[in-house]
Amino acid sequence: MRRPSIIAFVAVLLTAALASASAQEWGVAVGSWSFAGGGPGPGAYACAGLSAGLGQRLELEAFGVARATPAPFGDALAGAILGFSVFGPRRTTYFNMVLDLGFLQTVVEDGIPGLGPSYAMLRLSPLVVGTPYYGHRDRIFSLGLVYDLGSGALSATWNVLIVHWYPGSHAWLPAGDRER
Amino acid sequence: MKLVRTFACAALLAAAALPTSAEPRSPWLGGVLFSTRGFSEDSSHAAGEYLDLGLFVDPFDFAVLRPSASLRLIVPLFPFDAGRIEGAAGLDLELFGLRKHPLRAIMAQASAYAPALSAARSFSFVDPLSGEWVVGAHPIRLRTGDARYSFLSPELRFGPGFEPAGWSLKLFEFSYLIFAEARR
Repeated sequence: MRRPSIIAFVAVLLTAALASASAQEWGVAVGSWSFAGGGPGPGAYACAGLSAGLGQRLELEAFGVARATPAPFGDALAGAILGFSVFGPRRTTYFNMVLDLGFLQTVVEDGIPGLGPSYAMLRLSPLVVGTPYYGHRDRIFSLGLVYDLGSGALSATWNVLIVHWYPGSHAWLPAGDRER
Repeated sequence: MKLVRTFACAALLAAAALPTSAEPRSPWLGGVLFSTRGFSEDSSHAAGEYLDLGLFVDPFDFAVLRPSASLRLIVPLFPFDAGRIEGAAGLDLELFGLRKHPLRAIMAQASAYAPALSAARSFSFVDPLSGEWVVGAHPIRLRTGDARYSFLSPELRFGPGFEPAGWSLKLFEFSYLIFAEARR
């Protein structure tokens, strides 16, 4: 199972690199993450990532997830998700819903670096507030299913809040420059 | 001479703590807060993500050493366990507010870097005397006109007899001022 994991991981990285060439805007994401009933196990996890807008409704995000408690950095995963904005275009729909299809690869397991279990993920963010135009976009109460590609086990994942900042947005320009 | 210096320092601190007359006084009295946290392996709490939901009062408009108080529920959220919901009462002390700070670029509103210290007492609804004492810090904390945003706040926990009882970490805590003082 190790080899398909590596191939999938490399494929995701290549896709991210190719997608970056046509990205509409870049965003920085930070948030909380939890797993229950499987995955790397229960705990409080923190996530951080970089997102790139692709077209009207798609966005690609590469991210890392690290365990914060009970054992900091005891487990860490790297991954990528492709998100689809359900209610309308990303840049103009202030209240939106996002459906994500993702891949997660364990890169630290029980404190030991190395490739471990890999997962496919389907996640729904029912309330997404903000747009890249305004410089921030927050995902609230995201709930997902995680499928262990090795064992075939299903488990759940949850994010209370993921905050996205878009440093290139006009919202971050000095007030006098925003109309340009 | 030493006494004069002590009084001078005390007078300067008191003057700095008074509301600034150049700015309008904040109308806010308090609001709601929520945060997520986890606990260390050696704590009395099971592994998981916990959600704090609470109310706070922030009645003093001090420039330094600004106190506020909170009352909150600590809910084992993921995995959810209603039987282990706790309460907590706490005090925060905002040390100062710095308008020109490196993180202001990530905020759409005007903000101040406002680190704080905290102390709290948690209690179980089943056995209120079995709770823990908690001291913590908010090293990355931003204040805007109507909210406070805190990230990665560590806490040390102590049992009823002040024996060490592990640590906890709040990933984030957002507080929104929504209650205003009644108009006179």
